[in-house]
Amino acid sequence: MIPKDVPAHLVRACQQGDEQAQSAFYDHYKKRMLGICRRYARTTFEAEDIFQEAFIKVFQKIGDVKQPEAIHFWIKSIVTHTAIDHFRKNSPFWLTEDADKPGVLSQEADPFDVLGFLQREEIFAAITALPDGYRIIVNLYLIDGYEHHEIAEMLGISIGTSKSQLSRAKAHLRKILQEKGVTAYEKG
Amino acid sequence: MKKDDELRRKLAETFEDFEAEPQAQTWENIRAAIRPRRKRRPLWLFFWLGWGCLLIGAGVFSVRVQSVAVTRTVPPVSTTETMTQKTLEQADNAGITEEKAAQSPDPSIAVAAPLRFDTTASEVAAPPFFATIKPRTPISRRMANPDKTPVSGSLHLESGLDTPLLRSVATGLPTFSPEKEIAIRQPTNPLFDSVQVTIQDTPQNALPITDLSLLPLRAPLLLMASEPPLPPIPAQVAIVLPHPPKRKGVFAAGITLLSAYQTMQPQTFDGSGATNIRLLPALDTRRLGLSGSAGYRLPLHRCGDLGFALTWMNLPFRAEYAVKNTNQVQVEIQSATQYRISPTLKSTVSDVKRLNWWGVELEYGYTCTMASQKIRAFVGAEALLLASTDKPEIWAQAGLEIPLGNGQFQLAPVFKYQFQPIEQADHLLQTRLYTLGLGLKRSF
Repeated sequence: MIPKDVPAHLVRACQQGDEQAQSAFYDHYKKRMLGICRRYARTTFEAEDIFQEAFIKVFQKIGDVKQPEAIHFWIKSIVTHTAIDHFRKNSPFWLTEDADKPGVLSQEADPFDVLGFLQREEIFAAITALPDGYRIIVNLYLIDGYEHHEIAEMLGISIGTSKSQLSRAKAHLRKILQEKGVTAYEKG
Repeated sequence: MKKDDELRRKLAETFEDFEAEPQAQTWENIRAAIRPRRKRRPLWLFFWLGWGCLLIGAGVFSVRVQSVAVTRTVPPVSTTETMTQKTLEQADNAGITEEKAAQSPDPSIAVAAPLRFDTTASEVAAPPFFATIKPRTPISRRMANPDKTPVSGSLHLESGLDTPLLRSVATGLPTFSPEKEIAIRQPTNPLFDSVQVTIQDTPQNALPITDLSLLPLRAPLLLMASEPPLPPIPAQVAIVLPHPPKRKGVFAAGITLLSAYQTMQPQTFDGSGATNIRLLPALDTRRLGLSGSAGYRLPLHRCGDLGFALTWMNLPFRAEYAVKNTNQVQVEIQSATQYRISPTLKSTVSDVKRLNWWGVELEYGYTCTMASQKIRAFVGAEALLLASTDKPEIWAQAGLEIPLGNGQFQLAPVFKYQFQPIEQADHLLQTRLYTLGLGLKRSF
C-alpha cells in the first residue's frame, strides 16, 4: 500500500521548483488522482484533460501550502474543483433546468441499496453513464463524502437543489441499472 | 439515513484505491506548462521609452536650431575692413576664440563673425566696460559705455547653450530673449551711456544663468551714420561668476480630471466557489474622477528634473459616453456604485472606497522649447494603495505640461496605466485601468 502523503521535504522541494521533486511528486499521485478524474469525467480523454489541468494548478499553487502533511487532502480538493470547473466551463447548463423542483422519489427499491452490492467496475460504469450534473453530485456525496451544504457551496447552488439533484440522480441511476438488467440483489 | 451512511462508507472504501495510468505525454505537457517562462518584456515600456527619446531629441534639436539660427544672423554692419581686422587682432590678443569672419560680396560691408564666449580667458584685456552680477532674482548687469558704442548681449547658460538676445539693444527697440525671461532696459537714445540687462529668473527657468557677456557691435548702425567716427571697438567683455548661483528645486501641485477605462479579464475558476460568469450583470467599464498631487522637483545635474509627490486618485463615478450623431456626444454620469461579481450572484457592491487610492509618485521630467513654449514632458511611476486593501499597486504615467498665460500654470494632459492588474477577491476577474486625464498644475 502506497502511503497517502508524500514526505514533507518532497513538498518543500516542489515549492522551490525542484524538477526532480516535481517528477517524484507527480509519480506518487498520478494514478490515484487520475482515478478521481475518471469518476468525474464521462470519457477517458475528458479525464486526462481534467487531470492535466489539475496538476498544472497543483504545481502553480503548491507554494501556498502551509502544511505539507495534509497535502493529500489539498491535492484531492484541487482535482475535484478542477473537475467541477471543467463542466462549468464546457457545459454551462450541466445542472438541469428543473433542478430546483423537488425530486420525485420512487416507491421502488432504492438503487443505492443495489449499488452497495455491485462490483466496482459495474458501479463505475453506471455512474459514468449518468448526465454530468447527476454524476458530479453522486461522486461528491456518495464517494468523496461531501455533505449537502458543502456541495451547495462548491457548486453555487442551494442545499435543497443539491438534495433534489441527488434524488433525481437516484432515479436516473435506477433507470440505467434496469437497462443493464440489474434490478435487485441477493443477500448473501 | 443510517443506511445511506453505510452505503457512502462502503462506496468510499470501494473507490479509495481506484487508480488509472495516465499517458506518458501528460507529464511532458504539465512540465512544459509549469516550467518558469522567460518573463515577457513589457511592450508598453519600450513604447513610452521610444516616445520619451523622441520628445527629448526633438527638444534638444529645437533648442540647438534656435540658438544657431540667432547666432548666425548677426546683421551685417557697414564698417571698414580696417576696423574689422583691428577688432579681430584685439580678440586674438585677448585670448578670445573667434570664428572666421564671413566675407560679404560687397567689400564695403563686412559680415560680423559670431564671437564665441570663452570663460577661461584670464588674459582678456581689461574691458572698457564695467559689469556687476548679482545672482538670482533680479539679476542686473550694467555696462558703462563711454564711447557710445552700440552693443548686443548674450547670456551664457550653465548647460553650455547660449541664449543670445534677440535684437540688438542699439536699435532702440524693446528686447526680449526667446525665453521671455530677459529684458533689457535702455535709454531711448541709441547712443546710450550704459546698458542694463535685467533677468527675471522665474521658477520655470531650469537652466540658471552663470555668465553674461555684452558684445560691442562691429560698427554703428545706419541710424548713426551721420554721427562722427567711432573709436576702435574693443574686444568682447567676459564676466565670470566666481560662484554660480546654487540650483534650487520648485514645489509643484496639480489637479487632474480623469476618465478611466477598465478592462476585465476572466480568470480560471479556482474552486473558491463562484457562479457562472455568463450569468452576471453588465460590468462597468468606464469611470470618471479626479486625482491630485503635490510635491517637489529637483533639477538634475545634467538635464531634466526629478519629481517626488504625494498623490491621491478617486474614480467614484460611472460614465457612459455615446456619440449621438456627428456633432453631439452624450455623456451620462451615474452614482458611485461599483458592480462586480460575487460568488453568490449578489451582484452589486456599493463601495466607493474600492476606487480611492493614496500613494506616492516619482517622475522624471525634461523641459524643452517647442513653438516658443517651454514644454515639460514627464514619465513616472506611482505606488498607490487602494482603500480596503493592503497591497500597493504600481502605475505608470506619462504626460506633458504646457504653460498657460504667464507660465505659472500649466495644462497637463496625462496618461496613466495600471501596471499590476487587480485580482478580485473571488478570483474570477482581473481588472486593469487605463486612464486619460487633463490637469492643471502650478509651480511655485
